[in-house]
Amino acid sequence: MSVDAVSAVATKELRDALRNRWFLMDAGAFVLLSFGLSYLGLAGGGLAGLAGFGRTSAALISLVLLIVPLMGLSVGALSLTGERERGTLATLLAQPITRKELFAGKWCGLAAALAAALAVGFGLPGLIIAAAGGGGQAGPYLALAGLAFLLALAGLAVGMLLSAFVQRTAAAVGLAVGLWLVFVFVGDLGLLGAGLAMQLQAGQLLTLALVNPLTDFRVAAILAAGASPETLGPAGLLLSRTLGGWNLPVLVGLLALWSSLPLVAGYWIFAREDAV
Amino acid sequence: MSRRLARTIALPALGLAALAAAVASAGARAGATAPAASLTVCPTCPYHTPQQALAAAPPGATVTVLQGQYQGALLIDHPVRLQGVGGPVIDGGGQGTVVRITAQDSRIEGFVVRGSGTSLDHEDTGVSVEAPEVVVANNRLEDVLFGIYLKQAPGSRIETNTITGKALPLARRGDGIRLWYSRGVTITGNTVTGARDDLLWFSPDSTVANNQFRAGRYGLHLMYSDDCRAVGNVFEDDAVGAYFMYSVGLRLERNLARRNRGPTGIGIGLRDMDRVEARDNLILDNHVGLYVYESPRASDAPNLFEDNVVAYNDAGLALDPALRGDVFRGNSFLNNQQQVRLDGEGTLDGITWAWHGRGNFWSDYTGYDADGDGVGDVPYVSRRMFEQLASAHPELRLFLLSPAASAIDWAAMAFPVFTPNTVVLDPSPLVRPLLAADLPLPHPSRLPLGTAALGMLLSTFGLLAGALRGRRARDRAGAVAPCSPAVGTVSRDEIARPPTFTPFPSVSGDGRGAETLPGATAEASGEAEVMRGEPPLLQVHNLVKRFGTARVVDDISLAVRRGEAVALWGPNGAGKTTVLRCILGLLRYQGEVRVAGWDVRRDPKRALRCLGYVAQEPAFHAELTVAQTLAFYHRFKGAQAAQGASVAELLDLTGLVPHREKRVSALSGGMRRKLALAVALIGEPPLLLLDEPTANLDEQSRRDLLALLTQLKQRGTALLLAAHHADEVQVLADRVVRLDAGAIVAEVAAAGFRGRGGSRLRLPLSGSPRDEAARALRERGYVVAEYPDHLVVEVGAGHKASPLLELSRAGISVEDFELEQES
Repeated sequence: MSVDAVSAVATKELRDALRNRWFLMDAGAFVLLSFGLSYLGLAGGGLAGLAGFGRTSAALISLVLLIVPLMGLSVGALSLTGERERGTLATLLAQPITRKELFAGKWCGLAAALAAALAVGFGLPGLIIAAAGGGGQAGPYLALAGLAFLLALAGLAVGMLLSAFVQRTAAAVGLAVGLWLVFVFVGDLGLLGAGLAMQLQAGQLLTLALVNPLTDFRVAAILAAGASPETLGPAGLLLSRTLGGWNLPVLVGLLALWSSLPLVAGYWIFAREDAV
Repeated sequence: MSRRLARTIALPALGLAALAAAVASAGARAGATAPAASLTVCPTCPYHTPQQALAAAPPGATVTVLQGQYQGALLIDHPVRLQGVGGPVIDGGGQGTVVRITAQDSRIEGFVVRGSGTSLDHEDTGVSVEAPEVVVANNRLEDVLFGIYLKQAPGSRIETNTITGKALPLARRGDGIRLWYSRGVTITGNTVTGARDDLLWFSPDSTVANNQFRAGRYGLHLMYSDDCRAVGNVFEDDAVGAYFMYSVGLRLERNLARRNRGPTGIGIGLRDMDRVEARDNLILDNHVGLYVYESPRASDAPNLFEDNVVAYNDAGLALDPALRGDVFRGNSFLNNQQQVRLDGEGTLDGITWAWHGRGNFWSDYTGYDADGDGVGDVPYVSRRMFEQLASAHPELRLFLLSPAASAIDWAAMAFPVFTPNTVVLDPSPLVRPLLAADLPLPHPSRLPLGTAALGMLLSTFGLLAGALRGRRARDRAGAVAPCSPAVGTVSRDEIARPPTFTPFPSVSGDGRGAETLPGATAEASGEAEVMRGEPPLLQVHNLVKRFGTARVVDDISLAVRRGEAVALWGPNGAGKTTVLRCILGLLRYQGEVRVAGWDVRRDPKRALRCLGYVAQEPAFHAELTVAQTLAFYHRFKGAQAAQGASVAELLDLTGLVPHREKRVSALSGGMRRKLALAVALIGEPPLLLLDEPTANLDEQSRRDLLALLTQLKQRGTALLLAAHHADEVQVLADRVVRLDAGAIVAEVAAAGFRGRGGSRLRLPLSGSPRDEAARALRERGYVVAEYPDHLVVEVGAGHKASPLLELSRAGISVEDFELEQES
């Protein structure tokens, strides 16, 4: 694989993402809201030492859950379909570049764009809190940012899978938004309802819930922020008792699977299908 | 050196001797009035061990132990003052209790006590006190199972000791400080780390002040001990900060309970407690901030919680619905994930949330204070549907902080039919937190968070700056890696050599007759190649492409030699573009395609480095300029090799220099085609694939482009063009391959190409007359396609009837014909 070819595509993709309205809207909303949340956290605390990053992390977890998967899904879904629809995919693939290099370059560029958006989204509140005397530990702060990035990569992987087999941009974006709704609301609401209606045990509920990458992120972020497993009720205790000190690595592993398996499937389809 | 060593040894020895002399002199002076009241222990003193001195010391004596290691265990069974000077160590050697005091009014001070046994059954202890009025002060206890254990030792004082538990699993550790039936004890200024609990049982009227209890199970656990005070203590990183049970009249003030997140994870807990007054405590970042259960036991002994700060806990308050009479006022509930948790079924109606018009501050209060009196004008109401659900079904807590949980709360607010029960109703909520000025607020360092945040922002800046710098660098992109033929095929010299065009033999065929099968055509071409010893630059063997069930390319074989120009000629839908796309690897296909010997499927990069492609409707990234586009595509052909035209040369060659800073979106069709040609020429590939290069261009653009392509051809570049216009073929092609319905139906040298008029003559003939007619026409240079019941002949403008005349001269009778105009 040629590093130069991958980096050429990645750089182009990064610049394209910074021009993509979807991406800019999502990233802008994330930065503004995280900024606002940290400001409100400081105002609510109103005194040094109480309002630190760890304190606003709960609000940031909810924010990440809403916006970050959508960022990943939308840029991923547009990655190949956009090129295909504009005809530039044929122009690109007529050059001495393999599909693997093109796919890898796109992933690298988009992952870098997501990392940049998250770094600003987390970096600004962090600076504001620190400058205002909020203080706090860097560990949980970086852990939350890292987990958010993994979640973004999971969204990106699913988005790129969509773009590998959906021909039209509109269809890909529609599917991405639909999936986002499923991940964010429908899945959890369905499980909540099923839990109540079918009297699901904590173990069953936990297993089903962990299929959703957003749950993996949420539970990992809550635990990484230093919360007791009991915060998550019997399911949290069960998770802690079953996995012991491995609960965080296992959750991160699940997120890593979500970030890689759809990507592999997407590449598999892209490498085998007609490009035009 | 030796002098320095001597000085090093001598100075402390002299100091020790002087200290001993001073103590002895002091003892001697004291002894002048009470000779037996002071004894000194050191290696050179009259007493070598504390045991010897204690045995000799009369009641009320002071035994001074100088710096050194002394073996335990010690027993103080008559009232003495045991005073350590310079931190003498009493080591129990890991056996039993190290120091045991059974005499009233004794005192031990200034020692390092270490190495108790590990038996919980025998309660192995550092300092065990079993008499009233004993003082244990300023000692350091290390590696002890129990630290200081008071058994029926009322009125004793434990002051400024430092206690570190044994490094054992929590369940096997002993307590740091333990009181058992010891009324009126004072515990102040101690630091206990890594013990199990600090325990007060049946020890009323005791005071626990300004201690630090860290990393234990229960920082402080008080039971059956009325009228105690806990003031100014720190309970940090314990499983439970402080837990008070079965007692009356506790005063709890100015304590800090922080980060207590064990399995139960309570900051401060009360169970079966009456008349508690909790004021100005800081309860931060615990699993449960303040837990109150069955307190008060009697409704006439309510508890008061006033001016406390309960912040950033998972649950600020966890309250038993059975509570009656407790008062919460002036407290600040800040950003707890759940402000108040109800532990059980019921409501909190029995709690008073405001007293004399003063309620509490709730950070999630959404009301207002119109009259500016500091009290909200509408009550604070805490009711969350999700919390209510989770209280009834704890397993649903798994969905905490999820958007679905928020959606449930929003739905409950939007549709009052789902309104959940009210958990808290504070009629006079404060609009600002009221915090005492001298609260023991923690002051975490802002450095780690600030550094991490700054690092993130700087790395982002670096990433974006790098991307932009890369963009400028690519504008200067220079040489590219050239086409490198596969071993055993055409050499680079051959590729570069100017063409010496030899017209192909006029091989023709329709893919069906014995003489004109496409395979036979390819074989004929192949034979010709072998004969010349020059493998073709492009070899296509038995190419088949299906879209669904449709066979769009039907078993095509063809070859293009270096410097040769071959036209794929045929109507729309004949499969010309599909063939080109298969050669590029854009479409999956059956058969084999080799470019410069490289299999397009196996070695796509090497193969594609040897060809350039100009699409019928070239598509580029609209936001890039012409120069940026060229620079971008430059990188794919390899940036290090020394050969190949630079961006500037390509712009010059294609006449795009005046347009180099124009965005692609602003280019005309002709310019865009030229740009596509420039991109195709990066790396000077020996072969160009052109898909109807002059389609949809105005006359001037067509002429310019054809001139350019002619120039390239003259330079030795081989061309394979899908052609729709006869002039393209006429000007450029050496050989014409006629396609129809995805198959090769004829192949002729351009010299015999008569399709310049763009019409086809359809002659309904079958059987032997069809074959004779086809042969006759081909002999006269016509392009002929044979079908079962007809022939199709390419005819030029002004010569449409010529084939009929030729056939008539050859004695072949034609009854009917149709003329089809080429599009």
